[in-house]
Amino acid sequence: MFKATIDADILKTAIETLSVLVDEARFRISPEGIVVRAVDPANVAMVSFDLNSSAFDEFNADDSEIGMDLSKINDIFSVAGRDEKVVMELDEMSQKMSLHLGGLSYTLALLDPSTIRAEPRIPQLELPAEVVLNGKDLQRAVKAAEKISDHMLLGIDEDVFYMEAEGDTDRVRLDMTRDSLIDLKSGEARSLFSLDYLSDIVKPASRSNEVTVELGKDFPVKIGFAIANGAGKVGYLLAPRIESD
Amino acid sequence: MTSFKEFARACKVIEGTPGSLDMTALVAELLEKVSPEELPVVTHFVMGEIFPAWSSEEIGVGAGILYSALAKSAGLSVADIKEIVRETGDIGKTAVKALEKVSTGQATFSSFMEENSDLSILEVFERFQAISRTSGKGSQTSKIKNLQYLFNSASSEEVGYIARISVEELRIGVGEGIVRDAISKAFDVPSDEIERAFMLTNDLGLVAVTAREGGRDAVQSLGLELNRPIRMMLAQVTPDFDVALSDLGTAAVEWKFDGARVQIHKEGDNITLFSRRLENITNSLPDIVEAVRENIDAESAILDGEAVAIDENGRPRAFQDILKRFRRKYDVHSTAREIPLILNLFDIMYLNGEELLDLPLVQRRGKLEGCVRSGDKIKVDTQYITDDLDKIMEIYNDALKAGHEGVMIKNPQSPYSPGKRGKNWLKKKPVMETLDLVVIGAEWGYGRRTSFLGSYALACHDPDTGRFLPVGRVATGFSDEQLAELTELFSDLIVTEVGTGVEIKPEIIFEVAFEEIQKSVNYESGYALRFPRLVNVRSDKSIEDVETIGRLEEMYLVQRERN
Repeated sequence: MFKATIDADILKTAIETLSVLVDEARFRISPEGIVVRAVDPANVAMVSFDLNSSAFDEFNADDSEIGMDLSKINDIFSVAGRDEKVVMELDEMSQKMSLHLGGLSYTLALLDPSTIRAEPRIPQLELPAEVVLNGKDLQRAVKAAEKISDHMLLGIDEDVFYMEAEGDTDRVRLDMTRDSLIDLKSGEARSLFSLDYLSDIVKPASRSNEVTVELGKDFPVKIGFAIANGAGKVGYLLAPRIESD
Repeated sequence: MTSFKEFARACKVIEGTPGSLDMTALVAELLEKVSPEELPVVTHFVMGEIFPAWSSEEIGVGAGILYSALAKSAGLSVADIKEIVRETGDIGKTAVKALEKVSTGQATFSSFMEENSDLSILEVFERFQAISRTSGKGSQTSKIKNLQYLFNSASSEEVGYIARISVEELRIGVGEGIVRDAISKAFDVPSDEIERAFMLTNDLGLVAVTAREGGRDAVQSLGLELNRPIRMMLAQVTPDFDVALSDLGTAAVEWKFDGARVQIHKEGDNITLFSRRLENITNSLPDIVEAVRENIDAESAILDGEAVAIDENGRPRAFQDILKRFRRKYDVHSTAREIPLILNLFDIMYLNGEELLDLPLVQRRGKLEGCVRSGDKIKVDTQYITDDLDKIMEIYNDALKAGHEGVMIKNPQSPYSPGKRGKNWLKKKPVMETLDLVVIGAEWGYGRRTSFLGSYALACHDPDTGRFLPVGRVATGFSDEQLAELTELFSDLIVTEVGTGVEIKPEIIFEVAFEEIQKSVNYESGYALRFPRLVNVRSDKSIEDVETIGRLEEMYLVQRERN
């Protein structure tokens, strides 16, 4: 059994955190809320997504797992107005989800979860450095980098968090000291990342004014922030590009 | 679970083995070694296929997607990849070199896991399946990412083979002939029984699994299945009627219609149509589907026929018009009104649960006539049983007068032999003999034709090895307009470019006319065509229809005897 009511806007932003990486996902539903763990097809980026039942106005669920085509959900929300509520109800017999919003009522065929790539094993990483900053700052640096390159360095030099990109001829760098950051834990950190992925990830991250970035040397980066006004969280893990000698 | 590395190693050994007997032994060894789930996959992979030819699943990876995936995996630009392609002239070598060159290669999470497992054969196949399933917006990116995963997870031994299979161009010299014999050797089932099962099922993967699990009995019991196409029976050319009649005695003579072959599967109201290349063309021919549904009195049936496009005077229209119908995916109904088709049925292979392949032609004909209500859209044309040469000449001339190709002369007692081009079906046409050859290369033109591909390299097929053997080039018979069309057609099939020379993925068949076949040391086939010219682009034909080296040899010998 699954029946829930939530602000359309909250759900829409939550789904977007997944759809930037994958087209379809397995949703694990329990009385506590909804959990998704997914990896992009290239095994380069992962997302872990937790939406607590408290994010919902109404939430009644048993344990179950469903598969959904995220682009279809995005299509539905593209016509949703602000401040609208969406009511979701799962019909287990027909494996369909009905969505009611603003007088519209959709019936969405679900995907067989076993046809969707299995939940990834999440690598256990010790990341020595951590910064907390406004998502807007992260997005600004990524946008500047995109103009000149397809990859970008994230690193920490003593008390400075830097984001740097180098093109064939040009270079762009954003330095952020402790004052402009919300928090900083210094450590050895310098890794290179593909901007294809970073720009997808910062899109939803830019809506949060408190984004945690954990870093290491030639190691994946972990980018996390809260969603649904604190009633949920999203964490991305992005594998680096490795400079060979 | 067999790793892809083992498969890659086997490919490397096979590739370096010259004799086809030794190759067969190696393929047999590989087929024996893999697990039952892996067997069909390996059977297809080793021939450079991913899915059985008739399957509607297609990977849809071309040079563009492959280059982007390699670029992203290696941290290079697409221009860098193209440069390596020019250097190496081979897509497999390009993959190996690009990934060696890695400057800032993309890591995957596998590098950060405790245990790092090898890529398995099934995992590679699952990724290919995932690629074939993607469609619509964003599908390009998703295809690239799946390939990227494979390239970043594979070792340098493997990447070349992954790249080559992804564009279905493995080229290790293993074709259907070798795989058929290897299945026979590995699982101890006579080769001709493997062949028969293959012709009926069109799926060597399925045949291999059946042979392994159930042996000879199971292979023998593989048969027709509704909605899965069987290979069409084909006809040999007969030089003249005397020869044909002296071979056959009494003959069953039919008009040879100027149309395109259709295989019809009827299961209740569910009708499926397959083209000569065994593609599912049901959606393109709604009028034929309707006519079959209304005029065939059978619960289930598999029928063979020729669809003919007719003009307002009832004469056959140009062959290109029929292809417009067969290839059409949109505006299907309006095209059906513009170019109406008539379906001429001439054989039946299955009726109401009963397989009819081994019945003599005359009896099959009786059953066919018994279940078809002939009308405007669908008919069973007259079949004359005769041993009279004058009568045959008369039928032949009538067919030509009506604008059709000639006549079919069939052995009235013969079975329906799927995929066979034997002596039981003969065809007689007045036109000069032509060959269906596949285009494997081309040259960018010069002067006025700089932006056009021309001078097409042609090849025949060696069914044992699956290799295409060059038989020369055709550079005449093209209009400027046609060159532009062909350039467009081939642009997606370019594998590599070196200077003005272009290597083309063997897919497009040219029907080529010529004066004579000569022995030649210049071409790998050992033959060359004198004065070749393009007659038609045969988009209705597939790679399997390309003339074999054996047929060239035969024609050469016949020609030598005649002169």
